[in-house]
Amino acid sequence: MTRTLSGLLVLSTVLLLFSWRYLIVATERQYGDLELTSGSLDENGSVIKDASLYPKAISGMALQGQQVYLSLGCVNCHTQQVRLEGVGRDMERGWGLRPSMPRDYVRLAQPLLGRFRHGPDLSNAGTRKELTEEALLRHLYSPQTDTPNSICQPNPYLFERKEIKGDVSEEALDLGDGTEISPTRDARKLVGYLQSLRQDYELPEMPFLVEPEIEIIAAPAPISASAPTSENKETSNE
Amino acid sequence: MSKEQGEQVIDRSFRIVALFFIFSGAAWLLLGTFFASLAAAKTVMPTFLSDYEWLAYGRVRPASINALLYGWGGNMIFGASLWMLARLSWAEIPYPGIPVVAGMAWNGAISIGILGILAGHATPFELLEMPEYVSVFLYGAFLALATWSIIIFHSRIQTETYATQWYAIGAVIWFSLTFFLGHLGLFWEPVRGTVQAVIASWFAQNLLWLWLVPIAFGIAYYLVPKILGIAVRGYSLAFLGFVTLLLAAPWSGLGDLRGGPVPEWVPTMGSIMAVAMFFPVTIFAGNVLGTAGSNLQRVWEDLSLRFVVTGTLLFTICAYLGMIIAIPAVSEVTQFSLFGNFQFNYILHGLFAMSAFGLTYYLLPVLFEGKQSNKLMVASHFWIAVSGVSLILAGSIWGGLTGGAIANLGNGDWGAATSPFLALNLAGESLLFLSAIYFATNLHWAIGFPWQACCPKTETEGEKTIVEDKTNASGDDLSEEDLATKEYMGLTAVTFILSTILVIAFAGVVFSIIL
Repeated sequence: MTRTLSGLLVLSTVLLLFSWRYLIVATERQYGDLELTSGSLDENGSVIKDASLYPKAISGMALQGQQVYLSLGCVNCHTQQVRLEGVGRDMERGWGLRPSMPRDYVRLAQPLLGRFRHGPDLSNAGTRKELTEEALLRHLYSPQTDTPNSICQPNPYLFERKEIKGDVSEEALDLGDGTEISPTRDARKLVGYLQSLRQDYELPEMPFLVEPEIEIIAAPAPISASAPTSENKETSNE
Repeated sequence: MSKEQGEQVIDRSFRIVALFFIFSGAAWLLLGTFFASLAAAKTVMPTFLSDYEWLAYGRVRPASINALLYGWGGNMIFGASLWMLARLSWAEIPYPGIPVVAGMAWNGAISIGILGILAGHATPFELLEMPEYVSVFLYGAFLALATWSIIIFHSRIQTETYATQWYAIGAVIWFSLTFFLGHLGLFWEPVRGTVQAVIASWFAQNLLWLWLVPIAFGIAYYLVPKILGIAVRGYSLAFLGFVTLLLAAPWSGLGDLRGGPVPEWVPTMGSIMAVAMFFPVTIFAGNVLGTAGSNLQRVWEDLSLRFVVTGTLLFTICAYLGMIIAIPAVSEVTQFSLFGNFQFNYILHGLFAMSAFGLTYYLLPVLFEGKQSNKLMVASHFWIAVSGVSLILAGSIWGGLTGGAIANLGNGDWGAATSPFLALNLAGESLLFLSAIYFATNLHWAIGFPWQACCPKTETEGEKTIVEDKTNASGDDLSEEDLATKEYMGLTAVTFILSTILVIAFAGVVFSIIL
């Protein structure tokens, strides 16, 4: 096989395409055509008519925000996947009500699953009550202000900072030192995107594994990923 | 013509190619390790240079990885594989200007790609962050260089082939297919949802294990027996290593998706194949370390061999650790932690860079009439490179286990637990930047600036004599029979074009069957 050029070419190609066929083509055939669905199915196993379909579409603002998220490289430190029960403790940390399913990502042009968690998971950033628009903006401006040990990168270029003359300008945030920051359009898009991240619906293949209300309210500290248990000293490295 | 004279003819045809790829590689290594140090500094001090959007961690990190992989890795791969193929195939490089022009296109495309990442046009796929608009230029340049590898291999006189040749030719095919299919599945005809994550993992594993690793293997298989003057121990197993590497490697990164939104068989297969990497790693390590072990003193005294064999040793240890950590019970601890950087670093800085340094230090005096750097400088470079990569690897294992245990098994704050390891990582990355400076200095010490060493006069003389030399070639390892049956075929422009078309057509036919 290795004596001739064609032998080497054929061997190398066929063996590599073996992995393409039985890995990529196989996964694509298995679930590459997943459709939207209602939260539960009727007795025939088909989608319930007139029920709302999941995952829902996200707003145009949020879609543009995904580009900002991508361009700043947030995916280098944040995942967007709640793992199955028994793998890690994602749900105990309050990162989701149920594990993420392939269907949760079918509307996205590019799912940003991520390989690193230097910071918390963001699959459900939009469901956390403490992550208001203002809290998110302040966090993006300077993560170290609300979580002192955070290694998250500050993004001052998403804001315009100026002295406060008289009252704080409309849509600007008071930094408390005589200056205010007004978010740029990119900052608003990014916040819109973060608030759109929510897997807070049930799917036929995966119901909630955590009781919704209790879990969301139990998340205490602002921004940080939190576990509902008592002894925790919360995550600060976002 | 004796074997030595023949080698000189081959080497003369290679000079300009070597100068171009080695110096380009060194420049990318400097840039890549500089960015890596900057990114590491930003994880330790998040407010460091935080006013500049284009220097955000999320941009500098992919910029460093891509500069290292495509810039440093790519240039050294082209240089090393063309030379080793030429030597082993007993063929000079035809039209050496063309691979250099293709190399310029390659470097130009990467430069635009890196600027694109810094400008915020990155894609989310690891090792493929360079914006899609440079892909066509990268691929075109690659195909031109690939054609050269194949032409050189095709024009060989001997019928026996050697492991280095399989790996060099294999790497050409694997990169071509991986790059094409990866772009097909991720950009041109994007698959939906998380199938993309599976393709991205397949792509990244292929680029590391079927592009960087094969060339490093090839360098070790070439240099170790050559310098020691003995045959490779257990060489009959080498082919099995080649096949098992190709069977297992594409799947071996899927364990990273454990528990994630993909079918459960995907990460399971990933773990199985990651453990199956035992076979290619063991065979390679057995071959190279077994051969080197027969004369350790010589290995240590020869600085090129010291680099290559130490790189092999580091790689072997890390690959075994990687197999242990790929076992599900352990990988659940390290998932999403600092350990995620481990594989890239041990392959690129542990195995590939060490082999490439070794080969470069071996090549300089061979190609440029005995010119070489100061021995002490080379030895210092060795120690700096080894300590830099060891710090990074130790940091990512230790930090990955401690930080990952808190993040995945406990409730607490893993930030405080990982911060000492981020500092360790910064120290390691800075040492690697220093190692890159040493490498560039040593190159400069040996041959000055690349344009000073370039000797067009000798070049043309070499080309004129080469066809005659070739037909008279009676190297030590060529039998009369070989020479009688295998007449040297003059390579014309038509053959180049035909080979390119053949490669593409062949690939096209196979795709249409498989897809």
